[in-house]
Amino acid sequence: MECRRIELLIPLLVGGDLSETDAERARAHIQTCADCASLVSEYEASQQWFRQGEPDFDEEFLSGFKREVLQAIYKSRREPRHRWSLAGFFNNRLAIACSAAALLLIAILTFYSSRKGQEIGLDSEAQQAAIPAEESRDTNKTVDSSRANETRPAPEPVKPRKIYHARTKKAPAPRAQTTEIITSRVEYLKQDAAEDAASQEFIKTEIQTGDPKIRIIWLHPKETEPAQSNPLTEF
Amino acid sequence: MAGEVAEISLMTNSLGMSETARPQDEALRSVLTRAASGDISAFEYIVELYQKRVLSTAWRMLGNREDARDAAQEVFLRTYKYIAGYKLDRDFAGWLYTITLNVCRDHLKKRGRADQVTSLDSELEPGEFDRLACQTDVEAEAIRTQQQALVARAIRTLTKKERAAIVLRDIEGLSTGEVARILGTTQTTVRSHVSSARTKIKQFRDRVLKSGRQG
Repeated sequence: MECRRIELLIPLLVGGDLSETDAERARAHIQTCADCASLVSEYEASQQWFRQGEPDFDEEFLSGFKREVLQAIYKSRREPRHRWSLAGFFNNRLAIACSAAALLLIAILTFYSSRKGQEIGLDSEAQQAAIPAEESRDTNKTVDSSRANETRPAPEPVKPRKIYHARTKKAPAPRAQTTEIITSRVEYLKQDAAEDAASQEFIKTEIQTGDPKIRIIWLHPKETEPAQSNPLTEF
Repeated sequence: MAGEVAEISLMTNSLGMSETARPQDEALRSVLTRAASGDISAFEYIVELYQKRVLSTAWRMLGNREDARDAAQEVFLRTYKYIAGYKLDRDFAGWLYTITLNVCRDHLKKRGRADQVTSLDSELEPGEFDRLACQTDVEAEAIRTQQQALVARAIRTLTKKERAAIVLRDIEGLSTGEVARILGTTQTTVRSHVSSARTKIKQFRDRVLKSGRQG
């Protein structure tokens, strides 16, 4: 039993790596145990054999080596210093970390820009929707005035236009409220445009811009055939 | 200057490897300071002083002369590169060993041999060890070469950590504490690696002897 424990200590004993207490105990056992003493001899021989196998570097080899080292150092000195520093800086781990950080940054920027783009698109949609209503009102007025100059039967009573409050400028409401107001205005304008189209007084022109979120809806008066002039009444 | 270098060299030899943790003597400090400030001639003396030790350690770690030569060259290049940041109160030999082991580790990784550990059961030529014993002096060089090859094969049976521990402890003669400091580990771990390495080397030698007797 003691032999097994001592056998484990022998590799350390031959190198002087045991504490004084353990070394004393091992030596005491070895003096009485031939097998363990033999094992110690084997370990010592092995250690000796291992040390003897050291390569022999002769003077010629060493001087050649020194010359090579110095040449390499001179060569490195001729190179710009930043090359070394950059090479040291961009080691593999750092390069991976930098790439990951750059990708993350790009992802964040893309996310924010797309979000901002959505908000801008919503605002412009509301603006675009407000424009035709305004234009149609102006056009309507022109038509009415030109018709008033003509001597013809009284024109059909013009349908009273609704007053849009799209142009009225108000203090900017909080974002959530603004979105609601814009949505309701767009719906309102769409209904009105549909009514106009139904009355066939106006032609609805829709222009789809490059941005799928922006569509220009333009209502303009339907060009009516000029009234048949009565040669008798002309004069 | 040559006298100064000779003096340093003698002092280094007399101190032995186990004394590397001691503060550097003034002459060595002076050379290191000059080398740190970019004096090539001072660095040349450092190369002269330590080249054999670095080459030997690299050979033990890598197992052949050419790899050891490349690694040792890289060690001195790195030393030159970083010597400006070296603190004089630190043990220079220990610092150099750390660089050497790191370079050797890089070499092993690069060549895909980091974990290539030869089994103890790998084939041995019959009578390989006996031939070494019965050669005449004329063939001493060949004997030494063969013995080196056998030791290199014995080293290949060790893991990377065992190699570093046994080379520093048994070949370079550093204390367990110094080895632990250089390897960045505890003394208990170093003892464990050293014990395991000694056992494996003994087993390898036993097998060589056995195959020699059978051959």
